[in-house]
Amino acid sequence: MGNVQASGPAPPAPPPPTAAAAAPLPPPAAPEKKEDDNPGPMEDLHKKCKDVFPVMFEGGKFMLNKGLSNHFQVSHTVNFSTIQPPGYRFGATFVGTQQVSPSEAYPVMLGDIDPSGNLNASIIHQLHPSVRAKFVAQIQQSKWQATQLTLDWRGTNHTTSLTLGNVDLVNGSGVAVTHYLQQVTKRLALGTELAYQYGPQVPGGHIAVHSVAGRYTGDNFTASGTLGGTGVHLCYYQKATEHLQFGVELETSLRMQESVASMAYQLEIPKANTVFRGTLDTNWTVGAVMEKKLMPLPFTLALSAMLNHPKNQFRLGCGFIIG
Amino acid sequence: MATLIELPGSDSGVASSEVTPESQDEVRASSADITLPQVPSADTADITDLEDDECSQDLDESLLERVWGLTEMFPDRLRSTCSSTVSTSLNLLKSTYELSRQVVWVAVSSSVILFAPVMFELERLNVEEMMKQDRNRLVFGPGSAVSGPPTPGLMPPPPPAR
Repeated sequence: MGNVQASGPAPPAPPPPTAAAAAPLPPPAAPEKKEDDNPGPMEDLHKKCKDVFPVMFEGGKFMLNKGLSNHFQVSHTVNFSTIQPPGYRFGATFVGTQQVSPSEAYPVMLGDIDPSGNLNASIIHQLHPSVRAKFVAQIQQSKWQATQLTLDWRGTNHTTSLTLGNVDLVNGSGVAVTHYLQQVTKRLALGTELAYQYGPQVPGGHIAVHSVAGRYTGDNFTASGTLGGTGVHLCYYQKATEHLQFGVELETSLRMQESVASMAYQLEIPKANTVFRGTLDTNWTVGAVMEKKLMPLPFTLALSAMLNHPKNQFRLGCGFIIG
Repeated sequence: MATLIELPGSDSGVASSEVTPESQDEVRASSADITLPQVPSADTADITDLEDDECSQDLDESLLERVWGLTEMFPDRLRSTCSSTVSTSLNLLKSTYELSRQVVWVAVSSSVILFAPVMFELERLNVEEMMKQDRNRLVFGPGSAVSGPPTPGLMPPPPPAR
């Protein structure tokens, strides 16, 4: 099961590991850098659209980021809130010494913990120039809440990934998901996903769900969609001007029998050092987040508001970030 | 056809509580014709009595009764149509008012959250630019107010310096 070796002045192709994708791949038409043709992992399929949406928070947040060295960064976060118990969190980020490119270095370890022992940690490491591994763990109240191990293999014009989640060897349960995303033309990428869950609590012992995905990139817009057993998820992203971006998302879940459409926009005002994101959705919920950098000191002020009309619920958040 | 002379005495027996000269006259007039039934004479005696004694109260009640009586001249269908039309339009007005309250509230609160901060920031930016231009003009003399880097696409560019 070998890969067809590219002829001519092609970049040195790495020997393909025996991974899930077994079909022989066509060689690239012209000698291009590997990154240009690689469609990115399946997790980032809707990334451009999702980045436009604001993330609303509630209550007061005070965060202090301090860089101790080039490789190590520490953050202290204090949260005041009525819906969640107020608390302090300590976070640390360590960036390793293996410099892959000017902007990326591996391994990356980041985590945050609070005084009662609730921990979120993740480790990202590049095992090989085209294989990246990520391990995420979450511990709450002295119990393993969730673990997830992801392996990405970035080929010349495809990405294959395998994700194992909550693998419990003692009880024999877990979730395994495989993704395959192929760049078909310069603008179109098609992919597929297979999710498999096994365990005693699953009716029948195991269950598998299959879905297909696609993404079309235009000059100013990106349209992506996922269609499968769990439902339909469509995203559309448009860049209107240099500072204004729009995103529209439709999510339908067959299991919950509900469908939500939401729309968001992002406006940057570089002269005022402000980024404003607003969202509106079919659940009659309106939300906005405004982040303003208070120059010349490295302070950031974040204001968040969310209003749910049917429930008459309003959440206001204010955050101050230093560093 | 024997005329009983005692009849006039028994005729006024019903209204004997209020014996007035007029009632006596009425009784005497009615005594000539014994076929007159007793009840109407007693009623007319009553009404005239009441009218004379309790004028103001009686007038109000009877006015309403008279007006109500007037409506009875219209056919039933017209009356029911009118009343249902009036009540329906009143309800429609009330529900329109409630609906417009909700719509205006949703629109205003959503625009406060979605658009107000952006507008404020852009306005503040413009005002700062104006002040900077004025300061430049003041310090360096007229003709030196420089229009800064282009404003974002939403707002019109600042006016050129004179």
